[in-house]
Amino acid sequence: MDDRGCLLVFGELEKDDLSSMTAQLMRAGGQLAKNMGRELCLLFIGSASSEAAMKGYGYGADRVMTADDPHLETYLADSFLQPLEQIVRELGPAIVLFGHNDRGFDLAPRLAFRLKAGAILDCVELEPSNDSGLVNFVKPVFGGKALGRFSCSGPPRIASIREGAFEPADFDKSKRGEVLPLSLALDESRIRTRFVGKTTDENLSAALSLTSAKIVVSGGRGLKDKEGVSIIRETADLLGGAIGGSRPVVDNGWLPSSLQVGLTGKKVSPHVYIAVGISGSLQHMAGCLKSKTIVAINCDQSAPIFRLSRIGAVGDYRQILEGFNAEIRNIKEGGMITQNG
Amino acid sequence: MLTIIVCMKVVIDPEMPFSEFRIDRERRKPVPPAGVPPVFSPFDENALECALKIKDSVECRVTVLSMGKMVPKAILQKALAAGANEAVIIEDPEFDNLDPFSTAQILAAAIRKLEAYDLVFTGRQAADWDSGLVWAGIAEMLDMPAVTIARNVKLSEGKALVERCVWDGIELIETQLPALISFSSEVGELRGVTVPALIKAKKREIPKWTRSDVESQKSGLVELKDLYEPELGNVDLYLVPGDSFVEKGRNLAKRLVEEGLF
Repeated sequence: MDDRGCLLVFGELEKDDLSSMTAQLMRAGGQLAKNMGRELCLLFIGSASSEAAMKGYGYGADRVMTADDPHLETYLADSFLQPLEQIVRELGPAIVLFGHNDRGFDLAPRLAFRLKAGAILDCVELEPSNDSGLVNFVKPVFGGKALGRFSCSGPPRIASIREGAFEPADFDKSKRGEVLPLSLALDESRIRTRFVGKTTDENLSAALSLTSAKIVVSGGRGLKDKEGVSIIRETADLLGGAIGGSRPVVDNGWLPSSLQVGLTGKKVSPHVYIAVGISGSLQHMAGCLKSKTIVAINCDQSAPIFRLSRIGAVGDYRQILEGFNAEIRNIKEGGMITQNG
Repeated sequence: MLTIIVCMKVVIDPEMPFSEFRIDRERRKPVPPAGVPPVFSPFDENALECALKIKDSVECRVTVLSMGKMVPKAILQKALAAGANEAVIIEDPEFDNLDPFSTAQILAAAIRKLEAYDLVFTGRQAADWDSGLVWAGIAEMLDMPAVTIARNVKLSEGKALVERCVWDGIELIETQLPALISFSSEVGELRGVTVPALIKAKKREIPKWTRSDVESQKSGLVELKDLYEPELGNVDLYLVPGDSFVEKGRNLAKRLVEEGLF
């Protein structure tokens, strides 16, 4: 197969715009496409308003495509994979990028096996490479204890990108273009699953703000009791941030599982991650190592978290946060902090 | 009778202390830690637990499949003691550092070799390489639908109803059988094992297959070029001073504001 193809981004919309994850893929893909001198293509599968899809041009796409069909109204891997496979076969991209999210890690692996293409999931870096692999994919392995640099034979090479690994691409509203609708031939008999329904998480808004917040205050086993959650919540509220927790906090029922940060929970990458009473286990750190600054508050100075943090305070977290909150209130009154969030 | 095959990988204990984790960069693999016994990858244990929950309520047969360069029998005996009916080891010195594409192909071949199956369960990803690909390969090679990141499965009228965890809630997906389902920690931990059950399991023979029993070839689709430690050790820690904890807290706030972090 011709390996001079484009860079294809699997796009998702959120309200009337690209999702934040997709905007990040446009940054990651845009850099690569520029480096390689390739086209950057953006594809939306399922119902996408052309007004929203067109914004893809503002984020740097050279071509924006949509593929819609009544069968694609609700998401099912079995139905989404069909147009995806057809389009990738016809378009012949060198690289296909997905967000590492519910759809990305559901679709990317199966697409790879259908096309007999190499795939690397949960990438945090993409490095242009001079060899035939075109690009090296860097992903955390062993629960974040190590990083692996992989190359994939292609085309196409398929990758999913971890949320927060790239900044969203800049948006230039003057850039517009035509959204190209692609025609599809879906085989209904190959849709072997059925969407029955969905229950929305009752803690949805908190879970939402956790992954997008610039400041996260997170609690661990060291909170000692459920009361500790209200204490970190107070700090988070003061800073306009979100709260999260490590697995013991969720296992103890102090926080809902949707607020768990870690390998098996949410992966967050805020500007500031304040870890309160968190020892710094690998499981947990896999979810927050991408934070720009990690701040540790812990009574045990030998806790691993202090080796991973840039700023730390050793001692009783209740008293430390009491002083912390008082000072933040002070400074706020002085007008030195603008609400962040 | 309903048959569930659970694919379980034996890995270096992911809960081992960070300080003990070493990489052999030359060979691009971790150094097996001394004195830390290997374990089942935790998500695979979640998969087994879900299979056993189904077995609690309907008549069903659970077979555990584990492949690798060396699969300790003792771990498989634990799966039998927990309630699995059968276990099969697929072991070969050649099965070292296989990429997910080769692994999936071997597992798919082994599953074909087993008798009829209705469901194949896996973890969402293995706790060593975290590839998250093998489940998909099994599903595609055996031409089955797949539902990922499940926390519960119910069976009715020849179909499976799967609760799939998504970021904003739970989706309910119905799938035809046979199907592949991948699991996450939301299932809950694998049940404990009683001593009598373990003693009984120790007496069981566990069939062992090798490369010659399953077609296998290296895929060459992905290549690990380097394995290295993330730069964490170099973080210069600034510990905020203070005569009391409250003062430390105040100083911490000042420091973060001074650095322009808020």
